This record gives sequence, structure tokens and C-alpha cells, in this order.
Amino acid sequence: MSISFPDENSASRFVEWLDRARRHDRQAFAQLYDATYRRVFGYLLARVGEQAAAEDLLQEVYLAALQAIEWFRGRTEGEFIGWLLKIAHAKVMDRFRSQYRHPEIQTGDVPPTDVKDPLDAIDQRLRLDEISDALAQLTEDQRNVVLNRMVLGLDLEETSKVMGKNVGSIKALQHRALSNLAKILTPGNEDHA
Amino acid sequence: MHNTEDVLETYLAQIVGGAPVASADAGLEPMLRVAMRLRQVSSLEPSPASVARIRVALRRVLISDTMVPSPMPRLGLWRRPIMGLAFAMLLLTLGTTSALAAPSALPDSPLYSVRNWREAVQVQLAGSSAQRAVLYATFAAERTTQLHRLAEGGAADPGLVTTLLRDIEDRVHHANQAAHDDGPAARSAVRDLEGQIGNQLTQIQQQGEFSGNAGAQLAQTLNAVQSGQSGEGNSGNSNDNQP
Repeated sequence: MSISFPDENSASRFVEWLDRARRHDRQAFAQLYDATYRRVFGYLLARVGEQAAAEDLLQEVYLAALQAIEWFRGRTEGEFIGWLLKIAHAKVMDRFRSQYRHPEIQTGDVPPTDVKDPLDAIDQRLRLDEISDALAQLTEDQRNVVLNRMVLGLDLEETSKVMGKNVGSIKALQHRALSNLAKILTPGNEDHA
Repeated sequence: MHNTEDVLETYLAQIVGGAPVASADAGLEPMLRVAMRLRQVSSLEPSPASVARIRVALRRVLISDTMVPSPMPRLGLWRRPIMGLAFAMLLLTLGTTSALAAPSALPDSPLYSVRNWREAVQVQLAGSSAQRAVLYATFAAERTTQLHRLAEGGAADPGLVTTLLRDIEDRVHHANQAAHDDGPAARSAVRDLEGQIGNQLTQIQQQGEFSGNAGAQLAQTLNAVQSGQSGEGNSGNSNDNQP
């Protein structure tokens, strides 16, 4: 993954935080957390569709990352986020497996955003749940391509590197993914694949 | 198909870049709506309380990881089973007490003294000033959350509220002292927790649920917490009611 940096200084600062965090430097890991938690949270929220659950998983991801940081060999922010997202994916799958074994009623918490209109808040709550359910119905490649493009905000080239596919394949994948999502999220339309 | 994919990509690049999408052909519009909705997910953030909670949790793990074990004399072989038995009994005692004195025990409960005792044991067993600081601050934060719930429920006993507030103030004071003995990392961890405590106490004060002695104690405790956050709380008063 190669998420671009605004300048060389921030890139070298990130490398320094990584090096220090590997040596159990408390402040350095906190800096890594501050620099990356928003993107990891966006990924988790899109996958589980619930604010409180995404926050719990966010803590699990970083605690797991903290335990394993000394074995992480990446040197860039992009590689670090890629590594965090692998942990996040594993945590999401654990959660899904646990829910499958111990089903419970989902509350669909409203995320505390600055939505002005209450109707917008209701709309957002419904769609957040719907979106995570719809994403779960895509193939893994389709899901990853829309998460990388639309939630993490990577561009076409970056997504191509992250997923190890050429740009043409990414364009085709995102077209199919969004087309399927549109069909799933449109009431009465069941013919997605 | 290639052309449609290229057109779609043009619009997606605009959405990711934050540019408005003026109009699109009807075939792409449902896809772009989905894309914009997904993009909105990226603008949602975890609550500030949760961000701070995770930061504190990470520091706590780091502090315990980096704790230097105190030098202990080596035990002879015959002593090991005895020490093991003593340790098992201690664990059993702590476990039983934890079950009896859940953190929810309030000052009007007979289990509150057991809760205080359990906390005192935890503080005694802490291996460093940093750990003691975080423990004290955590105990204060737990009580603040309970107080918040009491305030929301209304009709709380003023005596109970006052005791709870005094205990919060006391633990904040000891947290600041222990953090001061350790260093910047512990001070920062304690400040994070004090920030949460201060926010909750401010909300309680704004609700106006407590008046009289309870209201005065609330103002005093809030002041102590805010002094601690600004680094002035190391010489604050103490009622020596600490665990």
C-alpha cells in the first residue's frame, strides 16, 4: 500500500515512530494510533455497521497491534495501515463468527455525527446497517475494492498496488461492486450476484 | 463496458477528492449514490471518549509491559510449594472478594468497604508509581460514571453523593501524586482519565441535580480534577480516605 504523504518530513517521522514503537516506546505508539485510528475506524464501521461495536473492535485492533508491533517489518504509513486492516479484518471475522454462535439483537446505534436534521440521522442509521449488510454480500475482492476506494480514500493506482491487480481489473471490479451494491440497496431488486 | 468503467472512475475520483458530482447519466446514478454513501462512512469518527479510552488502555498495557521486576531473593525448593499455596489463597481471596464487591458497590452498600479494601490491595500490588497512578485514576473514573448514572436517575441521596465525590477527589489527588513520582507518560495517562472525569462532572453540574452540600462538594471535586489536569494538583488536599 502506498498512501501518499504530504511531505518527506512526515514520512520520516512515521518511520521514527515505528522504530520507537517496536522498542516499546509508549509515546511513539500513541502517535501511531493518533495518525491512523480514523481510517481503521472507517473500515470497521463499514464492516460492522454499528458505532459501539466498531469502537470496541478499534480497541481490540490496536491492543493486538501493540502486542505484535515488534514483529511488524513495514517502513511506511501505508504498510502499517495495511497491517492494521489485516488485524481489523480478522477481528471482524471473529465477531461475525461469535455472533453466528451466539446471536443477539442488533441495536444499530446512531453514530454521533453533526447531522442537523433528525430525519437525516434516522436515514443514516438505516443505511449504515444496510451498507454493512450489503458489503457482506459482495465477493471479497469486490468488498475490498470499494472499501479501499471509498472508505479509505485510496486512488486507483494505490488500490491496484494494495490488491495486487492491474488498474483495468480494479476499474472492472469497482464497477461490478457498485452495481451489485446498488441492486442490493434498491428495494425489490434481488438479482445481484 | 470499458467506457462506462472509465466514466464511473471519473466520478469516483471526484467523490473521493471531495468534489461535487453535478449530474451523471441515469445508468450510473444508483452506483454513485452508493459510492457517496460509502464515502460518508469515512467521515464518521469514534466518539472522543472512546478515542481517549483506547489511548489510556494502550498506555496501561505499555506501562505493565515495561515494568521492571523488583529483585527478589531466590527461594529454596522447599519454600516454593508454600509460596505457591499462599499465592493461590491470595488469588482465591481476591477472586471471591471481586465477585462480592463488584465495582458497582456504592457508599450506601456494606460492600463498599470491601470495594475500597480490594482497591487498596490492587494499589499495594502495583509494581510501579505509574501503575498506581493509573489505578487511582481508574477508580475515580469508575465512581464518576456511577455518579453520572445516579444524577441521570435523579433522587440520589445527598450523603451518598457527597461521599462518592470526596472519594473521587481523593483518588484523583493520589493519582496525581503517583504520576508525579513516575514521569511524563504516567502524567499524560492520568490527565486523559482526568479529562473524562472532568467532562462527566461538568455535565452533572450542568444538569443541576445536586444542591446544598452535594452541590458544593461537586464544585470542589471538579475544581480539584481540573487543577490536576493543568498540573497543579500535586499538592491538593487529601482526606486520607484512600484505599
